Amino acid sequence: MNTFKVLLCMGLTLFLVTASGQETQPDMARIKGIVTDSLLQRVVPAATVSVYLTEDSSLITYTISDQSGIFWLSNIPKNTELTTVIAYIGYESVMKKFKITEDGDYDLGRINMSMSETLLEEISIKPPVWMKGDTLEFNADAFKLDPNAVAEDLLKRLPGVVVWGDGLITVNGREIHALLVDGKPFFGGDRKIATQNIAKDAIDKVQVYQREQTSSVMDSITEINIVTKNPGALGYFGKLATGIGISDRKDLVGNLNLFKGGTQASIILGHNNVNKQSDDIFVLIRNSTYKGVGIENEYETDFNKSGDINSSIAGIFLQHDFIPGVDLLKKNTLKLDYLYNRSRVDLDHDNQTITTIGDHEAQFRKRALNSFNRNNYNVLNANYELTRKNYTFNFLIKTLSRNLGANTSTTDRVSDQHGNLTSGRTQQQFQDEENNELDVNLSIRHSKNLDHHVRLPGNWSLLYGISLHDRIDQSDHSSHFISYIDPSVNQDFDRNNHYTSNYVGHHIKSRIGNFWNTLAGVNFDTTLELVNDLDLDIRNINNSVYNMNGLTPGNEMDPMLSYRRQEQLLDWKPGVFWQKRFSNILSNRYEKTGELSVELRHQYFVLTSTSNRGFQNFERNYGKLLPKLSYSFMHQAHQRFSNRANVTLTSTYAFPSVEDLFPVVDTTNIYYIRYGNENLKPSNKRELSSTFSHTNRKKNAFMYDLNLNLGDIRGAFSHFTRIDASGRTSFSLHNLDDSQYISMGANAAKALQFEHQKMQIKLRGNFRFSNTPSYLVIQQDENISEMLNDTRSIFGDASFNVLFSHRELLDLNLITYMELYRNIQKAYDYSISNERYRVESHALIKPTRKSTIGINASYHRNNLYHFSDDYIICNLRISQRFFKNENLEVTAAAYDIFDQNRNVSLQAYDNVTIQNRYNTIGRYFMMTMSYYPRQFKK
Amino acid sequence: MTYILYLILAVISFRPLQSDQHPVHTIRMDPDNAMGGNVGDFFESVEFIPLETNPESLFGDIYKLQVTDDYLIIKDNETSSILLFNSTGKFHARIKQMHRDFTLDRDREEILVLDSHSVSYYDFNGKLLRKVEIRKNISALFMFGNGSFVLNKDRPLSHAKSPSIDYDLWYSSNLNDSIRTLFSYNPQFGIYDYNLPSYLFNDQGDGTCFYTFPYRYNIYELDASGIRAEYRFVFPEKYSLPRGFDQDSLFYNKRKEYIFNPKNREDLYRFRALTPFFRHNEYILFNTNGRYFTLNNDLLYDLRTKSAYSLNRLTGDSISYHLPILHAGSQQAMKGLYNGSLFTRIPAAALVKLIDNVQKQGKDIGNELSGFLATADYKTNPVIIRSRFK
Repeated sequence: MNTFKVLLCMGLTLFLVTASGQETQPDMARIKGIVTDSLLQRVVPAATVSVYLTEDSSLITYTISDQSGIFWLSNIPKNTELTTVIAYIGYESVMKKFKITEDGDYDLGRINMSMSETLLEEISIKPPVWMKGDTLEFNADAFKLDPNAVAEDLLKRLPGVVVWGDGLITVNGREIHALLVDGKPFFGGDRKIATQNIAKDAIDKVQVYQREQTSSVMDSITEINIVTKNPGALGYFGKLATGIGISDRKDLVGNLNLFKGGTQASIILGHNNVNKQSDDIFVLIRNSTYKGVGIENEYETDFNKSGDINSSIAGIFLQHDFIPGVDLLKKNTLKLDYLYNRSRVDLDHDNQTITTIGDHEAQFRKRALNSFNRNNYNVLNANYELTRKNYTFNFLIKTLSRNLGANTSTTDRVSDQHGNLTSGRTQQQFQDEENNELDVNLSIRHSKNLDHHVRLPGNWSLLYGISLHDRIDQSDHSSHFISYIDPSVNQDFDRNNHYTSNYVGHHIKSRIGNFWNTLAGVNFDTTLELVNDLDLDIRNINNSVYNMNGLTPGNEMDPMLSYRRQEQLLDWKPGVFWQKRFSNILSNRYEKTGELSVELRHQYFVLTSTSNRGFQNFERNYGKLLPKLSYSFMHQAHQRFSNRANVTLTSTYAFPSVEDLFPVVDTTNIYYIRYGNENLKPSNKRELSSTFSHTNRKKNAFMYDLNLNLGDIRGAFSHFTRIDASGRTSFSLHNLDDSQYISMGANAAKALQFEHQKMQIKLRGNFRFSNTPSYLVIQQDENISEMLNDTRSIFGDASFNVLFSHRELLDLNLITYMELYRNIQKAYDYSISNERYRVESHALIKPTRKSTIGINASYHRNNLYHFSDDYIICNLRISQRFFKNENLEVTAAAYDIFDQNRNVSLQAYDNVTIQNRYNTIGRYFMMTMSYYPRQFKK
Repeated sequence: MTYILYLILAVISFRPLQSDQHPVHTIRMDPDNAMGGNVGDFFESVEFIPLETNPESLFGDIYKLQVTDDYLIIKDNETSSILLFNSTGKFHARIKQMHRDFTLDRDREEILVLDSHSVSYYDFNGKLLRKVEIRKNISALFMFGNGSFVLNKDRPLSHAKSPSIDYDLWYSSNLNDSIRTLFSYNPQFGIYDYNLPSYLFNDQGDGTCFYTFPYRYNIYELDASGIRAEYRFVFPEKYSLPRGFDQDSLFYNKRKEYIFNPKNREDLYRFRALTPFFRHNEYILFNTNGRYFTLNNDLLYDLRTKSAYSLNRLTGDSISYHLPILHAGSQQAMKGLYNGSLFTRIPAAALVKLIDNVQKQGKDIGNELSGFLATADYKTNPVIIRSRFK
């Protein structure tokens, strides 16, 4: 414990002491001195020494005295009337006026302090920083900033604290774990919401401290707590914005957030037709901050969104903390959020499906789809969390109500390798779908107090969840299929479908231990637990299909496609978990720990289907062993680096569903007819996954992580596909071996801090190779060829991201991205390659305090099989703030100035590659007026 | 009512202490008024002793230090070892054995290593000489100058069902017999949460020791015949644990929570035990075990002048190469006292930083520390600082 507190103080004060050793400019001088208590004949370490301009009392610089009471301060202006204030808890503050007129270091000499009963909080001139116990406290009033400055501006002025371009906050190179306001999470704990809204003048002090997570000193975490001047006072902040653009573009946002004591509430309303969408209420709140949009804007026109979207949202967030004040050990909070989203999407979709069928032979299906989609949904989440002593209680309710409607016209044309048309289809579909879901989860966790009855088990957790999901799906569907090869298979239908599904699921997860101490004697490094997961699901499905043929629905129910079915599923996984912990610790040097875990479960899987269609009445029982072996390793070198590694070996099973075994076959789905396979057996996936991460704990933080996954699937659910010359395709699932994959990923990030500049470099790369077996039956003219095919897929992507900022004037972000996909068939000679590249640059310039210029430009290039294009998206945004409080903002923006935006995506499986192109938003211009209402009691 | 009965029982059970005939020194001190000074005010010389680092001698930290004329003997919990270095820091021997405590037979030059069921006797070359099985569950031991022992055992994990009397210490001539007992308690309340890992027996190097109670500010000087003297410290309320913290049933089963997770952060300043505790002539030296770092954690009390000094506030001067000897901010800690010298330790990395700071001020650090600086790396063992009293 002693080591902990010592490390803490050293770490937190180091940057203050070392800061005084910086180089001094020619018209500046250094000052030095020693702080003493002559009565007690002792030096005074950790005293705060601040230098102010006498004229206006503005703070020039400050430091704290070292262990010998000595201090040095650099860059002190010469020939200027200055005042130094020396303060320390329990002592009368000392004030000295001085002026440096000569070259060389200026010696303030021995500064003698006298003890006092006055608390530091009561003295007239509070120092900018002081140590209080294990906490470094910064006095916000000592930092003179712009009157409209926010918490983030203050944090940037604190030594050792760095606010990075992507919002990351570090203290002495270590990422902070939490940013609290008056000891509590602020609006869900999102740092940006706190730091970019809270007025600097409303802040009393900023506390920086470390908190232990475990008994390990090296596991301590850094936190920042912003203490406001009136913690219980009512405050609010938000944004009201109206954007009007040409071509009837509009963007309206209203957000108001209120807080008082332990209660926080938000309301948000929005409407736009510029493809801005989010399902997360906090995305909307954190992108409406007073500080303004930074270089990374999450709530912005998404040029990759498909279709032209008209969207409206309304949401609320409520949080109440029942515990007044700060209590690190207890939790008693209620959170509630609600979001209503209504969107209308006009979608034009072209795609090309390339199905390779032999040596240099493929079928090309081109599809043109036009649809109008309606999507309304309401989501309500309520979460109550209570922590008392060794108990943690959590109650979670989620309700979802969604209504989807779509009116879709589709045209398909299939041609062979030589461009000869083989078949075509036109479809019209109207769909109306209603989903209502209720999920309730209740969990209780208990941690044993190891001081008592140490041999008895006392760690346990129990989670019970119930899910009630209803779905009603009504559709009218007409289709006209023509084969140019075999007219006998031509097909027309017009039908009405009424599908209802009612689902009730019970989920129980529990674990209890530690039985090792009971069975084998007291050993705090070994754990033995009983684990149990149980899922019990019941689903009732009623599907009624009416063939219209000009008659009214109900007159001609299709007996082949209509059915009533009940599915009962029992998935029970009881087992045993054993873990052994190894450690090798050398104090103040390194800590190495390893954890070997073995989990052994037995899975009972029972699927029962009861249907009015005789072939769907069946029961399947399976019993499988699920072993899991894992080893984790951690090496933390004191103040140098931290390495973590994990290797896990698992064996899991996938079980066939009713639709895989005995589906009701709809042969009118001509390009994707699904048949069942009653002989389908469970597939077994055996996977080795490993991760490694390294974090450098030095000032300019560097981290990287690597992951590697190897998998082998025995009896994988593989496609058995039949394709005829017209392109008609049917499939069923069969068990095939030799399905393997290997995937690798790497991330690296380096942060660099210079005197006035900050830079973050991030690299990311992924690679995946897979071998997927499938069985193909190709019918060409009179010839039928059957083949067992292996599809070898190679996927790779890489990105390079640089964030650069210069003071408050300029933020730059450069991103390059490339993606490669290659698909090779082993049964015949045909390979397909697709490549995509993207280069993005973002710049945010602040020529004056009140104005901002944002420029985004991106170049995209797609080299796809049989298709390539490139395009540029360029956006410009100019903002100007008005009024004394700078809470009125006018923004002029031009998006996709060259009107070149495209939306291209890629899908692939087995011998099929699908290239999609969608309509999307293009050039538009917009003028936005934003008002930021805010009140923080000062 | 039940609590009052228990309280009466607890008071009665401590009666032997009060009836013992020994001098009692009551010392009232305010650590906030502890004076500072220079290292040279108290010490005539300071020697930095880097402990040799090689694969054989690598160890974690000094959990207990015993000093003889020739050796520095270190208990390390992290590598489950007792290590012997000679007085210049050169590695001599290692005893690799799971242990709870050790003590020295200074006359025979033997190390007595205590584990859960036995005491193993080793010579100063680390050679096992013999083993004595013990019948009681001992957690700490000390050998007096006449070869007899004082033994301590942890209090029980669970409380007794009815009031009874047990003892924290007992004297023994052969580790298994019981000559006398000291410090009774009621096992209904004095349970596991009373135990606090610390130095219980503080070896004075002259065949006597100081016994320290957790949560109490009474220290007992023990010799082979019993309590030789008692030191009762009184501190300001803000640094003191609540009255009856170690005995009152109000705190039964809540002591650890109060100490480690108090509701009020100010409680983290309270002193948990006075250990280590040493006496050199008229100087009394101890650590207060407050959880917060206050620069007044290691104190020196002059019985002659009744003055208090903070060892954490002694400023390095020329005799210590301008380095502090016990500055808590540099992870220095008091570890032992022998033959007129105070022994403190500092992690090698912390010493490197201190030296670096001194060098930046243009001050000389001497040849030995220069040599240490040239060889120190991330694995280097801790350094012992020997400060000879004037």
